[in-house]
Amino acid sequence: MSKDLIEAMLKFDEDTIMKEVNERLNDGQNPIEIVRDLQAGMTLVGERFSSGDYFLSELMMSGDLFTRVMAIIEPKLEVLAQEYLGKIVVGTPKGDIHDIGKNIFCSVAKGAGFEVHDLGEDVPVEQFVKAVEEIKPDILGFSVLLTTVFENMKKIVDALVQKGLRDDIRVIIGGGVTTEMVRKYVGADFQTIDAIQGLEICKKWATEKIYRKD
Amino acid sequence: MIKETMTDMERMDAAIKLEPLDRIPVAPLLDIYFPTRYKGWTIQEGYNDMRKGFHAIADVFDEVGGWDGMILPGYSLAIPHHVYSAVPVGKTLAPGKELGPDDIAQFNEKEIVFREDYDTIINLGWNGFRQKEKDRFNPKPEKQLLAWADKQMEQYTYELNFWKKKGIRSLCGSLTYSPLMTLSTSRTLLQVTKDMYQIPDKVAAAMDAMVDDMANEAIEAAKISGEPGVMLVMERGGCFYYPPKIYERFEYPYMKRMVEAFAAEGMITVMHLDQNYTDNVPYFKDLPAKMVVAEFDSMTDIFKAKEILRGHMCIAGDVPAALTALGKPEEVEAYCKKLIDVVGENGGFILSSGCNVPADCKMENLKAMVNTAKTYYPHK
Repeated sequence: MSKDLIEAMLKFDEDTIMKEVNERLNDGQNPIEIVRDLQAGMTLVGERFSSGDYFLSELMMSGDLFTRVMAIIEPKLEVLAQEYLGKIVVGTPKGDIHDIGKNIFCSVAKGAGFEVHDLGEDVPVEQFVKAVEEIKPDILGFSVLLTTVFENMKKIVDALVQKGLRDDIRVIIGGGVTTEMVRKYVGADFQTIDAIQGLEICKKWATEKIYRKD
Repeated sequence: MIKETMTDMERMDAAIKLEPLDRIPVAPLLDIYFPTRYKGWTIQEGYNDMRKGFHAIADVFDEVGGWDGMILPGYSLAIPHHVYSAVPVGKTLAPGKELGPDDIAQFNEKEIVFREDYDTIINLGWNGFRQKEKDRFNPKPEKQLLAWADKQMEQYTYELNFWKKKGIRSLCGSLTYSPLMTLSTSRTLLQVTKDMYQIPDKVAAAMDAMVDDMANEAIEAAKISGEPGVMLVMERGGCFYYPPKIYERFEYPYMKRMVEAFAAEGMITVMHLDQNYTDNVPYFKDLPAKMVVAEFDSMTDIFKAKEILRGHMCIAGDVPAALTALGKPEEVEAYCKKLIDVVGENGGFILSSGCNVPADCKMENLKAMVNTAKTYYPHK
């Protein structure tokens, strides 16, 4: 465990992080060890966010750093799949192109060890359903900022019910306009406006394996 | 019905000045989206034809039985002929153009101002920078842009006068962003955040060079439109995103300078505060008394805000969009009564939608909101 790398993550010190990551890769270190250090840093950032010591700005910057460092490391990783906590498919449904909240959640979920499939923004209902059929995620996430996409979230969940896929996954929704009333309307399992709170419930589902009805 | 002893305009003015009321005024922030859909048109139809879209708003007003005031008159912008800084920056994707015909127009989060531009902003001011880089913001010929600005201003004054004839006041004669909001929408939220942490002095110097241009343009626009009020949009500067040290350096001093500039001209400020500003509300006590309306979207704790701002500043809001889109009229009524009970105590409150009335609002829910204000006032 590199204390320097973790400390640099906590300070959003891009220069130090890039230097150490490149040195360790050039030295032939197993990239999975570097990923574990980065994830340890992300976990601490998340804890500081939950305790109120860090704000969304800091979460956002560390998520951005993690994503960019992982882009360097990922091509060198060979056997990461078995390390994943679980698979998450996430996107912003058709009618909404806002991506800030979604991108923050994706980066912290990757940082926590999830395999994240980001479908992007303005994603049609059918594309979500197809992704669930093909990727077989443990968790499906919607990020929205407009009330006009409530209906599309509901259509996606309804389609999963019709196809017999709903019982195999957990559904989480997030975004400024979402409330408990929206969660019930859509048929989701959890609602939040807090990326780390969302991540914690995903980790709980993953570690307890309660996302599947075996 | 409550026996009314004030006109609609008097009621709105009294709420802002924290004076006694006969009942709580109600003023939904209504743009074209809900009215256009309610008419059975695509959003594109109302969006592309400003006059048609505006009259859809007016028709909803009539169908609901009217209300006390408008926060903004409609969907147009008040832009002086030569203006640069009064036009919000950032690319908007339009229904029927980049988006589907029934989609909401949405801001496109892309960088159009870059880190290396800060020096130019510092040297030229915001207007000078906008003028120098005008093709980057909008590549249309200047003559065409100015014609567009004139059309916007003509429509804006038409809307203001339309409401005056109906006997109600529209609070904002123009609209502008805070410098942080402006940089956030033109640099992107992520990039301007990194700037504030990595090159704070440069960002502050740029904001110093921006703020007076922006305030002066908004004042000029409001003078031309004839309504002494400015909407100051701040959606990305509060405690939801940033720690106090960032707010205190990059948002609060500049918004305060703008509010004070508006007040010096006798203009009220409507602070459009989307997202959570609960921890920032105590700062507002330092803004000019009875000259500001803090408008919340349901993310800020409006009840806590009332405790802090009581006797100093009018509050507007905050019926949640999800409630008017999915809830039942009795649920909307119950929430409005709670707002009137708590936030409406001792006046200083305008019942309004949390941000805009959503496109998929139910008409019966809008009616429930307006009727609750007209029929429920427990404070006499």
